[in-house]
Amino acid sequence: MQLEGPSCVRAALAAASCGLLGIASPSVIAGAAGDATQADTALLYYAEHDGRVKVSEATARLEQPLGDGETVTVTPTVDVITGASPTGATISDQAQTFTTTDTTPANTLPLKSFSDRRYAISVDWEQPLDRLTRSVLGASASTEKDYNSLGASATLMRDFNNKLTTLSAGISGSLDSVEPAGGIVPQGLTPLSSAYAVASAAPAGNSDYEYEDSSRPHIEDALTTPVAASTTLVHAITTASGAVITTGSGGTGTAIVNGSIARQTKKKESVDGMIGLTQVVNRRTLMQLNYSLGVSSGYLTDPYKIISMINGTSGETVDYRTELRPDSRLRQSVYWKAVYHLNEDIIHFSYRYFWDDWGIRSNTVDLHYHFVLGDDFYVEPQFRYYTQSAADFYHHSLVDGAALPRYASADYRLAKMKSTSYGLKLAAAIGKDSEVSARVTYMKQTGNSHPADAIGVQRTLDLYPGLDALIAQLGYSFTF
Amino acid sequence: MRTLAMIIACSALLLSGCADVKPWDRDLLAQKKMQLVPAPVDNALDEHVYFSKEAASGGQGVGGGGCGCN
Amino acid sequence: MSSRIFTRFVSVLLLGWTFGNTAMAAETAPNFSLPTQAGTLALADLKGKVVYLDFWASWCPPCRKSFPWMNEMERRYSRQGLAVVAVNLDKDQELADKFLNEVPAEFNVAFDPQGTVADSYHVPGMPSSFIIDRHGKIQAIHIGFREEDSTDLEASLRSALSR
Repeated sequence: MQLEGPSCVRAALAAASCGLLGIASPSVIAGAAGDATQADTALLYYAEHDGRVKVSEATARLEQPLGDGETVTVTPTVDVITGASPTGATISDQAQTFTTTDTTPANTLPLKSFSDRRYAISVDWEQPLDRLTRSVLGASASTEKDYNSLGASATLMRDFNNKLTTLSAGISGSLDSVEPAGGIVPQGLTPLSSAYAVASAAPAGNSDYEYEDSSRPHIEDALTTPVAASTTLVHAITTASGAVITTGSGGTGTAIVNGSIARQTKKKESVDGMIGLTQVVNRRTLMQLNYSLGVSSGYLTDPYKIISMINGTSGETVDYRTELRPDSRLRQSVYWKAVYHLNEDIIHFSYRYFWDDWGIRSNTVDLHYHFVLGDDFYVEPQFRYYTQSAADFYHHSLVDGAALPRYASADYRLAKMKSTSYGLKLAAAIGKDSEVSARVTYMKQTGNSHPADAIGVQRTLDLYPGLDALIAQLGYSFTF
Repeated sequence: MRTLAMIIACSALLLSGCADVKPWDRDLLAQKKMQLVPAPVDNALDEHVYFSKEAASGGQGVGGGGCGCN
Repeated sequence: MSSRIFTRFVSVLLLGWTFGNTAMAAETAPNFSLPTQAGTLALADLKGKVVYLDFWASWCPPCRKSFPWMNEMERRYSRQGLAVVAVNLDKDQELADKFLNEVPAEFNVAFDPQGTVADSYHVPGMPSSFIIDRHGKIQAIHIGFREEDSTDLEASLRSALSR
């Protein structure tokens, strides 16, 4: 779930269960041969500019009819994610040192490298309950180095009006757990030097934390002396180079087992509900209107992101703090889709309005034009336009010395921004039931590079460098 | 509350403005390219990208349309 | 204004909910005369036979499933007086022909591209089948085709054939 950093944490922060509700499984489609398995496979390559995130993804959707409208669909996915993503620290006109080995040159966006692999699978079982009613039960699971997720969903659909109208209602839930690389969940809104303080029972001078990549403390095999559980003490973190960072009083709730400290895990839960109305408007037109409501609670912060503390006069960066987000989020959206059949071509149009209690308001417009070129080919230009307002607690940086806000994050994905995507899909039918396709999309995100509250030297810097990404996809669909 | 009223009004409008399409006139609607999500894999991949890079997510629905066959 | 729309909304839903497939049972089956692959066929010509009248189209997956079963019924009961008539409702004859090439029919296939006969029968869904007895009365209407229903359908046919 992450096209950004080592975890679904980053991606999932913005939303609910990693996509359980709302992925339609069109089971009764013209051309679906009786009992044959329908397989839709795809390879995706996603690459951002300037050495940022790169993802290679392989997925397959296997749909097996079980007779009389009953269907089972299995979708396995593998992602390989590499590259680097913004830490949340702003660009500075000076070189920046985050730890002894993690430095960023002047006028460069601070990035953090990572490499991860994600495995996911989802299963959906669609069952007709009677001629007019269907239910879909789904389950999903995903795992990566620092993030695991389990989810389940149930949807009910009922047809009315001679099957011209369909009402659907669905509910889904997910349980996620985050175990940050390095084993420590930092304290939020705490200076970097003390954010990773962990309870330990080490006598002064006897703390041996090894840095996994020399930038974050790693708690494995930290102690050799067994101690009583739940002891909380002041301790020191020794860096790989031997420097000692003295920390404040340690964190809480860390179990101490046999002399080593258990890795810290944080949980997150989400419940989402959706009601939808699909209506055949006329022979050529189909529309859908959905309302969704979701609640997430638990650990919603990104454990890897930081925010720069800047001098209130000069605008120079003087320190960094870890970010902190609220521990609950209420999300809502209204989504409208229209499909229109011209002579041979089809237009797909959708609009979504999204709002949540973090202050985010967003609009999404999506348009696909399915252009038929003879019996076996089609070309589909695609366009998407997205805008969002900033989260209430989004700050590009904080003024050092000023009162700290309750929550703060410099994650560019919570800022006021616009994103435009242009895509083109080409597809060719092979035989009766197969199709091969290629799709390329260019996505560009822009935000406010020069906000009004930029201070001093910040006024000369680009505080929202934005994002350019190219997405290439190859698809092959067949039946067997 | 105002949102709820708007949704009900939109739905009502949707339904009241609709033609009565006979079951045998659903030939166009039965085509794969006329489904609400004609390419589920493309859609899932896209949603994955946007959900990872943006603050908003989800909203899409399931079911309905199609040939209306039994 | 909005309450009027709301009332219409609710009545449309209720209408849809209560619509049953009993609209035409026990009525005289409307006559028709349609082109087939072998000349014209009129319902009146089949008086005295039990007619299994099926409405189908190439774009309807359950229709594809029903053809082997209809072939089987034709084989088993045509000597006892069963006539299977499958009325095609494709607007494009080519699509129907393509379907029939892939899924051959041993029974009568008639073509009603304008849907006039379907209209006269108030066909409630795709596919729909009407069992018409030897006196030309509609005995049963069945919407859809599911494997699990085929035994019941066959039983209805046998009961109509025995009268």
